[in-house]
Amino acid sequence: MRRQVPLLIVFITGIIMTLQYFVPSYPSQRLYDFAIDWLRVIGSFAVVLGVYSISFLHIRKIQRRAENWQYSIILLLAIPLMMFFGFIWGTREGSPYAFMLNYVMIPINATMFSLLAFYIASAAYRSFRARSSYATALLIAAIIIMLGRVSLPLISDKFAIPVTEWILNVPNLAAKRGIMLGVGLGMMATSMKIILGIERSYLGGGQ
Amino acid sequence: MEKRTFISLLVICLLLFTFSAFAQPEEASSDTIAMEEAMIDTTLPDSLLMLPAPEPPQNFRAIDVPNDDGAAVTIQWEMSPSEDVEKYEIWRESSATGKEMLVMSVFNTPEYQLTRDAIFKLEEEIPEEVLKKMRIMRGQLFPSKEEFLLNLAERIGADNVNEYQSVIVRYAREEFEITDWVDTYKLTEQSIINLERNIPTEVLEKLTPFENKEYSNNKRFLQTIAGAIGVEKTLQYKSLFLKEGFVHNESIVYTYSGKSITQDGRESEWIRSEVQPNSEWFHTEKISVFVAIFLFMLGVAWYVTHAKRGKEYYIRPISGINAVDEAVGRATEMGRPILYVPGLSGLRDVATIAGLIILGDVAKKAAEYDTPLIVPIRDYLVYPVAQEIVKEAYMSAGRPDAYNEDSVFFLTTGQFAYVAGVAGIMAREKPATNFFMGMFWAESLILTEKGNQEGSIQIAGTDADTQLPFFITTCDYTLIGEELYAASAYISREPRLLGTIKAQDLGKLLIVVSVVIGTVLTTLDLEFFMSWFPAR
Repeated sequence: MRRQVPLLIVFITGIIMTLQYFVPSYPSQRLYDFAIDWLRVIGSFAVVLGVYSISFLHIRKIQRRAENWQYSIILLLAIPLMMFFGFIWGTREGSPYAFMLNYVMIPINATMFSLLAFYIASAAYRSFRARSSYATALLIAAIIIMLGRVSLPLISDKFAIPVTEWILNVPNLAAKRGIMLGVGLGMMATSMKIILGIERSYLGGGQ
Repeated sequence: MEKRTFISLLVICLLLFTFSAFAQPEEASSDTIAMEEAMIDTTLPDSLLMLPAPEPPQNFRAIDVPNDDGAAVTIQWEMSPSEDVEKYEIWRESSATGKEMLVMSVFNTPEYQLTRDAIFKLEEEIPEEVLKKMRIMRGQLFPSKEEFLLNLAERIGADNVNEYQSVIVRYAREEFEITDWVDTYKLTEQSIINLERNIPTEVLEKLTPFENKEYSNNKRFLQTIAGAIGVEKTLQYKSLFLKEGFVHNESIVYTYSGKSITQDGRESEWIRSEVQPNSEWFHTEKISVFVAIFLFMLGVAWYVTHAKRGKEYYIRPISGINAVDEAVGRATEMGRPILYVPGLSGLRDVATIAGLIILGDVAKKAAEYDTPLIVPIRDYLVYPVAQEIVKEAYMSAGRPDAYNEDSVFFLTTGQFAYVAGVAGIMAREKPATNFFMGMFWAESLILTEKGNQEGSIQIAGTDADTQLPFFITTCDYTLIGEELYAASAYISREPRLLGTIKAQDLGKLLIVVSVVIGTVLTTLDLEFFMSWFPAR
């Protein structure tokens, strides 16, 4: 029963929602909205589990005096502090919550995002070395596309831009579409396996 | 603090927040606002009654939107030929209530686009190289006709020369006075010469009658040019008139009425159109998808049945999956943990589920080799599922004692906060092996480069085509697209799972055959095959 009931629920809801996709009628739309609302509600209450997980992970870290346990105190203070700001003053512009978001969180996120520029450079340096014929082809294509994306007169306009457009719109797009075809079929197959109960490991490992 | 107390406090806080969100004052309904607006006095002064009424909107019609839930109607009309129309009013009367109400008031600022039909019309007359430039504009919406035609002129290489000439005297009450300077536009000889370079004679001939004619209104000038070269200028609006809580009733007939209104309040006659919106029980444009899924299911049933009977299927080797054993063994030898990132998306993404399925296999191997496993999670709903999968993997490996409940933990929902957290884990714990299986976005390169810096062996798998190049260049092994979905079958070698992979291959074959057939038939100008697969 422990495995049969979840499998039955998955089967019934999977078949219903698959058929719902093809039925545009009003009752079908209402069913879809109902399912989405429930998903949001369950997701909201799952926040409790997530907050519990991270809170007690760090509480145990403090209790054990593990390495860098002091940072765990900062995290355990930050969670209720932001909740307090949000509940008392709301999240509108000018509130302490908005202040923390705009002047702490967003700059920190931007900082992490900006690391990408440097990591792209280091990844490009490593991967564009012409060690094989494929790597050489990749290097040449990369040079052409880089030239096509900058505003160098003559070189960009006459040669690099048209070739860049061709590389991106013909071979690159063809490969991308091929991958997406495979992905689409893979998604359909995985979904079908789960709905029909062929794939059960998501329930908790084993058979 | 006890677990129960903590959870109870959090649930109470959530409930309080939810109730406070519901206790918001109701906003005035749009119906009430519409009725109030409709009651505003619009009596015209006597002087304006002498001026002619504007023309009504042309070809006004209300059409039921097909393949929907019966709650949408498309109202379509063409602009009034009158130049001084400021706005259009659309009213609706329901056969159920008999009441008429204002639905919307639309200002006469149409959006212009070069539609497919307009391009087909132009294709007969304009050379390919010019059309190619114009095709780039297809589907783009421009807020003003001027901007649309300027863009068009730029594309086809025409000059947008305007000449300012004279002032227009306008009537203002009963006095004559100069009220404004108005630009006058004309198609000059110079601009025609410029157009000549790019537009063939037969099209230019259409513009020749307007040469040196003066237009006091920029709109009128550009409208004439657009009309001459055959661009469509249709307005389309969609009206969703059923609100939440409204009883859905398909027997109701709605009468939509439209009229033009000038800036000084003169109104045209009404134009009416009736519509009875219906909902459909099958989306006819999705029939090809339905047939494809049905055929795919038949293929799955066929191959799974044969697999159960003992038929063996060959699956090509996937190096990334073959390397899982080696990667786990490396971590065991080095005495360092395994880091597994099941993507940054939630359970709604199939890639996340595929990543979690592989997590079960990796966790089982980690349990067998007694290698520590670290699984940071970004989504709340994924966390309990991942925890259960890892726990069961340890149970099935016969090592329940080795299971550490802190190995699977929720980190944060913020994208770059999560990346910072995982990068920190890599720096502190120095895992020997990193697995990245699931959906990733911009953060993928940061994760893999950090792993490279720490000297970890990295195996990645994603169906996000934008991130695949980053994984391929920075990871030792990459599962590309469908290989991620095939991994669970490949690792377990269960006949039923292998059967679905063969069905996928059959699906790919059908798609390739369809593409070849479609290409050949379209080349021969036989488009019936393409019409079976409508673009949405």
